[in-house]
Amino acid sequence: MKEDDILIQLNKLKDIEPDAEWKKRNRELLYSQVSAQADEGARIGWFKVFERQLSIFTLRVSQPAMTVMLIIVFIFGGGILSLRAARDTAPGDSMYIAKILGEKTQYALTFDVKKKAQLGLEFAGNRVKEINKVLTQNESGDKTETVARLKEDFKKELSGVKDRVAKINEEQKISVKDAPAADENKEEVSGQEELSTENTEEGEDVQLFSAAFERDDRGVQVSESEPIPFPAAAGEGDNEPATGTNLLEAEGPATTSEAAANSTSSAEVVEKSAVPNPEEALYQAGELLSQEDYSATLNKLDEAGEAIDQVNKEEGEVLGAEEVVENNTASTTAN
Amino acid sequence: MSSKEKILYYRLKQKDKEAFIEAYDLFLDNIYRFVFFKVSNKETAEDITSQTFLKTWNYIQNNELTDYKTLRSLLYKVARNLVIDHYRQESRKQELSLDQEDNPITIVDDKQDLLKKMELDGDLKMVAAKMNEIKDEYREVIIMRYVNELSVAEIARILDKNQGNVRVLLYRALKTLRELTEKSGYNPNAPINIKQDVPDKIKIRS
Repeated sequence: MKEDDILIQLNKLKDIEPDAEWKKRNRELLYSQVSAQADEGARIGWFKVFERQLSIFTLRVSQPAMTVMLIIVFIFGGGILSLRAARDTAPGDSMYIAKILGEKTQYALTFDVKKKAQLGLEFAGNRVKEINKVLTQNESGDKTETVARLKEDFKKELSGVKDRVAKINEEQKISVKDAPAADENKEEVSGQEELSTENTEEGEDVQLFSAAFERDDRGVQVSESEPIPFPAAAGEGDNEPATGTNLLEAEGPATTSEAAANSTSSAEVVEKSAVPNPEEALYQAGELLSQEDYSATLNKLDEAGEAIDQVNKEEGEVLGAEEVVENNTASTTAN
Repeated sequence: MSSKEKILYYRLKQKDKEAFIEAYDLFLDNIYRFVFFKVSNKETAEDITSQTFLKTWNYIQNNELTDYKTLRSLLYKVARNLVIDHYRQESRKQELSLDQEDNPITIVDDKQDLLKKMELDGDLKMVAAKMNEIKDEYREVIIMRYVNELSVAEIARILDKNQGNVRVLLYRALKTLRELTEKSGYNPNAPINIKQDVPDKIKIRS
């Protein structure tokens, strides 16, 4: 008889079973004995039963899900905790490498150029803080080398930011060029200026106060509105505005004082648009670091950050402000 | 361990008597078969099986189930120790040494010999009879592995051996059984001689 045959025969021995009658009888007997013992113990309340059922349900349904979740929580939680722990480290600390890795990862996972530039500034700031920390540490050791290395890293970060700022500026220029509607509107405005000059020459009492510019997707446009009659308070009698000026008159202040106010607000916009040049701020930050003025370097980096932040945000406003200034100049000329 | 067994195990940890009765239904046949092949007597097998479950329940009540990875391994261990106890008691009664190979105990119970009552074909009869001729150690691994289909790991846990030892034991057991079946001198009417060498009891952790 071969081994396989033996195994088959052995498997057939499974047919050996106890008597069904005995099984039943013994089951009842066992149940009564078990019940008697169980009754002696603590009785289980409804809450306990519910808790048990819930546990069984949890065990049955969510065991793999829970395992996966725990792994995810462990990985992410561990990563976040180690990054938090490494936040205030300096070169030489055991967790410093985790900080650098975290920065690199953050950098790699950011795709927006502007955000990357901001991150670069943040990391450059970190290097400055680290230099400060290294210098204030009482430990003996060669600080010069570490500081030099950190300065080198700072410069690398800074040059990266400069590249990105240049890229942002280029993109901005391209987007301005791509708006032909804006040029058309400029022409329209200059046409209106000519018209107003003619009107003035004709001796008509027309004042140009302001034009409301709106910038939509196509660029800058002059918004037309109902002509506002020149007020009698101006002391010119019942002069009616010339029809030719209707185009130039937009909703806006009707008095010279309001015009002045308008020009003030335009100046504010212009002032607002006069944010520090990021490239200049970055250059200054580099210079300040060379002079070992670390707190000033940090401030300059903050300024550069703000400037970069405003590049896209103010892009439209800045352009609009330029147009307003031009228009104001035109209206002054007309006056 | 199947998910059903896992749930059962968890419920038993909570001393759920209903779960214990479910476990009884699930494992009774296997435990009975295991015991039966070790004692070759229907009534004794029934008694020991019954005691096995009761004793296991006592272990559960005493929170000792947590020491075992599966309920199955606890049941087999309890059954195995009860069989050993049974043979020790028998040996005291008969005042005979079970270690004497030239003087084996002959247990003949024509009335209750289940194997003889079963309508088995020739080969199966032969294998069943030869099972009683091999060493008890071999017999129990064969029953656990090839009849009750326990994994090597489970057998290792029950016997407190490592898996390599269990594999070697299985190989030798199967080889011995094959050699015995290859011999033609098989007499189906011959009484079954059980050479029961009483091993040490497996310590059940408490």
